[in-house]
Amino acid sequence: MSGSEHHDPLEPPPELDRIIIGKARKAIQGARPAPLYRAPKWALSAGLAITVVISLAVVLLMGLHSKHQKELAARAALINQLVAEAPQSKRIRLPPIRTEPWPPVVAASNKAPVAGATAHPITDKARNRLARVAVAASRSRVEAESIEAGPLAAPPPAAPAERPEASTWLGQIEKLRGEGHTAEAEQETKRFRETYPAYPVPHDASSTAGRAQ
Amino acid sequence: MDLEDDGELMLRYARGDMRAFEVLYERHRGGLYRYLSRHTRNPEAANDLFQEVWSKVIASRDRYEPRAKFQTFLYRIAHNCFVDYCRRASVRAEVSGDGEEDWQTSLPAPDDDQPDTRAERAQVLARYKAALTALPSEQRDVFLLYEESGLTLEEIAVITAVGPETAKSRLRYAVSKLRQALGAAHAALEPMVKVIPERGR
Repeated sequence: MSGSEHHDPLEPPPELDRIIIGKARKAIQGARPAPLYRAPKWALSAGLAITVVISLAVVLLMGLHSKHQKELAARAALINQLVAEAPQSKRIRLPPIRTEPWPPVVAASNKAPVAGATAHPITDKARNRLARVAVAASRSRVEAESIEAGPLAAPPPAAPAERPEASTWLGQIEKLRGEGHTAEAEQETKRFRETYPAYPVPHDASSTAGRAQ
Repeated sequence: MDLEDDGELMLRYARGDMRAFEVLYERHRGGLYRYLSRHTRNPEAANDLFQEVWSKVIASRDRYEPRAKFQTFLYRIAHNCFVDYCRRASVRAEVSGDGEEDWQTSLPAPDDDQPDTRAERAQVLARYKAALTALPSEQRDVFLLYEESGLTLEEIAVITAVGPETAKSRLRYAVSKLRQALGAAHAALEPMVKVIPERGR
């Protein structure tokens, strides 16, 4: 800035420089300093949009989680109800797991065709289907029991080794009847029913009695 | 720091950096003062306007946004201040009368400052001054803005609130009239009157 005695007419006088610099200094003295960083204008809207998206995602995840929890609770309640409804004595026991192809009953049924077959027109196929349903039901109950007992509960007892498969057993009963051992057949039938209460038996006591007469 | 952009300096001043303002002021004080001084041809009025312009710059520091060049911002304020000054004081007549002696010394002296050269230069300056005074105020405004601020014609058009073609036309007329008035002597003034060579496109 010109500080010379002889003032150039096309340069501002030094007094004017001092006045203006003084004004500029005074203007910023005491004024609150502006923030050093100025966020760009789009930062606010972008931040809001990101917040909204994250919030929606969290709410959605929480909703899905609670729905899943409700489903699990409903299933557990259903299982508990089924377990509670079934009396201890009538619980279905699991049949031994088959290794041969299903259904092997056909041979036994064909071997001993009975009069009751017309009275009970249930086919072998349908019988097998029913047996499968019964096994599935008994399995679900066993599973429910194991859930109730906790993870350290003992596995459900396997079917006794001396008890044959349902179809084989029925075949043996038929065989006994055929040989005339009706009392034994009745006893076996009774045991069979205790063992497989859901298994449809084509020859009940009445038919047996009818045949015996 | 000297290479720093004017807009950035202004922003720094707004954040409280006084040194930034000093650099900014040092860069533009001369050109702005000459613009106002040649416009008003009255040192007192030029001083008042100069102070008024810088006061407005200081006052608007918080609102300043570097969307355009700082010079455009500064000279728009200066232009408006001068227009207001003309309206306030009806100074057209006054402007044409005063400041005679200032014009004798207003332009830089050449190196060979001999008595005969000095006399010749004084004559040329007198003719230049007369020619500049004789220009219509709009043409003189564009001419002085172009001469002192270093702005482009587009920026001058923005400052004077006319179209670029109008600003260009005004500058062309001003240069043409000055050439006519100075005649062959305009070559002597060339280092002093920058616009006379074909700059105004």
